[in-house]
Amino acid sequence: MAELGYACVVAALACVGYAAVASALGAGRHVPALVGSGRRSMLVGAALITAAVAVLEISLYRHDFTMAYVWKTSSLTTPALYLMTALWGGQEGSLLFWSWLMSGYVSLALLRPWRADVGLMPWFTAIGATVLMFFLGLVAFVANPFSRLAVVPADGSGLNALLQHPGMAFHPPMLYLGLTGLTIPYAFAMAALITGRLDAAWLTASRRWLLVAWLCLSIGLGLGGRWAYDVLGWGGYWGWDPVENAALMPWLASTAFLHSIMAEERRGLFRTWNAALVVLTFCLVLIGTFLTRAGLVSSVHAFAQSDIGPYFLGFTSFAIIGSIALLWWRLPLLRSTVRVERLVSREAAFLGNNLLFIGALFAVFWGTTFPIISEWVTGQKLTIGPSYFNRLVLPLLGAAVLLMGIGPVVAWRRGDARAVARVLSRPAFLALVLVVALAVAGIHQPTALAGFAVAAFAGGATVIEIVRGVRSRRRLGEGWGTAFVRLVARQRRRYGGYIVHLGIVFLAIGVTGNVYKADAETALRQGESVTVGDYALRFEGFGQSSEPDRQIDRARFTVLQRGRVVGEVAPSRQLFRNREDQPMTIPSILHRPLADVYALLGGFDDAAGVVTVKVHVNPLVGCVWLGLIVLVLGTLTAAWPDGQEQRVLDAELARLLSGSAPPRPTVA
Amino acid sequence: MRLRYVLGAGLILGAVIVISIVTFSRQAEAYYTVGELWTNAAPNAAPDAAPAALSAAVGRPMRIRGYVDAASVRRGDNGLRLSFDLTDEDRRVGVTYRGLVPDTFDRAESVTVGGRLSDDGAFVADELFVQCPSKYEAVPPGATAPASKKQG
Repeated sequence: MAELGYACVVAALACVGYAAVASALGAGRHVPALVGSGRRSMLVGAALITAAVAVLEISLYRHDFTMAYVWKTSSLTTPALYLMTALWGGQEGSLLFWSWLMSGYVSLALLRPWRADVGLMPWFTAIGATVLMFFLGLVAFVANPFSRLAVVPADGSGLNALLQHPGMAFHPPMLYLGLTGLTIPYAFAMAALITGRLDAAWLTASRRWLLVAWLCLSIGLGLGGRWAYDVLGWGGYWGWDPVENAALMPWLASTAFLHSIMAEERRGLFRTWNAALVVLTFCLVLIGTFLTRAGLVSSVHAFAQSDIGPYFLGFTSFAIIGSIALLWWRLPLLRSTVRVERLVSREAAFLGNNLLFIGALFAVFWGTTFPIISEWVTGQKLTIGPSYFNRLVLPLLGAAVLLMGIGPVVAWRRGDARAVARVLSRPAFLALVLVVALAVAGIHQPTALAGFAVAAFAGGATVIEIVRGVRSRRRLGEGWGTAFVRLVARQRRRYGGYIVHLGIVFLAIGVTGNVYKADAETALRQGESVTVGDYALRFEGFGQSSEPDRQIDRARFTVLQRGRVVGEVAPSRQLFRNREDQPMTIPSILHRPLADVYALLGGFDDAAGVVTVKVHVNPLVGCVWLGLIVLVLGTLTAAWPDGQEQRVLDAELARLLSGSAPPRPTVA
Repeated sequence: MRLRYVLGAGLILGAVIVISIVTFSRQAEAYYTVGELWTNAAPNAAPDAAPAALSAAVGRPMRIRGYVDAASVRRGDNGLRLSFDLTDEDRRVGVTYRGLVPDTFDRAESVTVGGRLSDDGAFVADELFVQCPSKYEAVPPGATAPASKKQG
C-alpha cells in the first residue's frame, strides 16, 4: 500500500511539473494543443493526489502500523472520526492534504469553461501548477507520509488527546481550505501580469474563489478559537500566539483585498495596489506556513518540528522576488487613469479601510516576526505579550468597525457630506443613548464604552441601510419578510456584505466584553465557595467515571448568581489509557446569557477533600460565536452561486478576454 | 489631488509603523536561559555567587528558561504556590510562582517562567510554561526524542 501511495505522489509530481511547463510554453508560443495537454495533465495530477490521499486514509483505517505516519497519528483505539482526521494530524500527512486541497482548487478553476487560446487560463495553470509542485515536492522528497518503519509496532502511539475535539477535527481543514484557496486569486493576478491583460478580468475571475477562501479562513480561525476556549483551559479564545497570528495575517490582508477590489471593479482605482495586495496575501500564506511548520516559533501549535524550513524559505523568497519583479515590470500598465476625487466618497472609505487593515497587519507582523529576526541577528531572544497586540491592533480594527458604519452610506465619486451626516445622525444618536445608559448602569471603563459605542453606531448604520432597502421594496407592495428576502436575493453581494458587517458588530461587542473579565484561583473544601464578579461557585464534591479510552475525575460546583442557583460546572481531569503520563485538565463552562462561567481544575486531594480551582467569568463571549456564525451566513449569501450573476460575469469575462487589447478601465 | 491622498495614506501608515516599533521595543521582554541571565546580569560572578549578584536585572520583566531541580520543588497553599530552582549551565535561579500549576510540570523537560527578579535574587513568576518532550509528535520506536521547543 505504502509504495502505491508514494508512486501516486511521484507520478502526480511529474504530471503537475509537465502541466506547468506545457502551459507556460503553450501560452508563450501560442500552441493551443500544448496548453490543452497542460490542462489535462494538471487534472490527471489532481486525480493522482486524490488517490494518494485515499491510500493514506485506507492505511489509517486498516491500522497499517508498518507506516511511520499511521503509527504516529493513530492507534487501535482511536475513534473512527479521528482516524479520518489523522490525515492532517502530522506534518507529512498535512502537507499531502494541503497539496490535495490546492490541486482541487486549481482543477475546479480549470474545469470551468475556458478558451485555451486566449486569456489568462494557460498562465493560471502554469502558476498554480508551480506552487503545487513545491508542496508536492516536499511530500515526495522531504516529508514522505508513506515511509515505513524498520520495526513494526503492535499498536500506534495515538493522536494527541488534546487534538481529539470536534473543533480540532475541522479547524485545520478549514484553515487549509482558506489558505490554499488564496492561491487562486494569486495565480490569476500573476497570469494577468504576465500576459499584460490588466483589466478587471483577473478580478472578475477570482472574485468568487476569494470569497470562498476568505469564508473558510474565517471559519478556520473561529473553530481554532473555540477549540482553544473549550479545551486548553486558559479561559480565552485568542492569545496572539505566533501561529494564530500566522493565520490572522493572510486574513487581514485578504479582508483589505476583498474591499479594495470593489473600487477597481467599479471605478478602475487602486490597480497597482490590488495587484500588490494579492501578492502580499499569498506571500503571507507562505510566510505563515513557513513560520508554523519550520518550528521557528514556540507555541502551543508547534506540532511539527522538521527540516523543511530551508525549502520553505527558498520558495517564499522566490515567490516574493518573482512577484515583485513582475509587478515592477508591469507597473506602466497598471497606472490608473482615474483618481480619488473627494475625501467624502466610497473610494476614499475603501482607502481608509485598507490603511487600517494594513496597519493592523503590520503591527501583527512586527510582533510576530521581530522576535525571530532579533534572535537571528543579535542572538538576543525576545518575547512579546498580548498587551502589545491588544493595544495596537484592537484600536485599528475598532476604527475599521467605525468606518464600516460610515462607508456603505457614502456615494461613489462625490459623496455629499451633509447627506452622510444626516443618515448617520441616527446611529450616532443610538450610540450616545447606549453610552449614557451603560454609564448609568455602572459601566465606566472608557475602552468598554468606546467599544460598545462603536459597535452600536456601526450596527445601527448597517441595520438602517438594510431597512432602507426593504422599505423601498415595500413600496412595491411586498410584505416585510418577502421584501427582505428578495432584497438580499437580488443583490447578494451587497446585502451578504452587510450581514457580514452585522457579524463583525457582534464580534466587536464580544471582544469589548473582555474589558470586564474577572478571574480567581483558590483552594476549597466541600461546601466552601469562591466569588468571582457576580457569580459564586460552591464546591459540592468529587465524582469519577470511566470511559473506554479514559478515566475522568471531576469536581462538581454549583454556580450561584447573586445568591440564586443558576447551574453547575464540573471541570475534570482526564487520563487517557494509552497516554497515562499525560493527564489532561478539561475546563467546564456554564454559558449564561451575558457571561460564561469557566472553571478549570488545578489539583485535588481526594483524601483531604480539598480542590484547587481557577474560575474565569467571561462577559459576552457568546457574542463572539454568534458574530462568527452571522459572518459565515453573510459570506455564504454573498458567495452563493447565482446563475444570473454568473452569466453576467461569464459574459463580462468572455468580452474582456476576447478583446485584442486590454480596454482601459472606464470611469463609472 | 492624487498626491495628497498618497501622502496622507503614507503618513498614517508610517505613524502606525513607528508606533508599532516603539511599542514593541518598550514591551518586548528579554528571554534568557538561566545561564544567559547570569552572563548578562553578572558576567564576572563566581559560579557559586549568591543570587543577590543578579541585582543588575532586578525589576525588569523577563522570561527565563531552564531545567527544574526536582529536589528543590516545594508546594504550598493547596498546590497554588510553588517554589523551585531553575538550573542551566551550572547556574541556578530560585523561582516562586503563585497560580495553577500545569499538569505537565512534573515531567517537564524544561520550564519557562515569566516575571521579575526581586531584590533578594529570587525570581517571582506570574507565568509558567512547560516544555515537555514530544507533546504533539511521538518518537518512532528506535529514534531519539527531537529537541522540542513547544510550550504547554
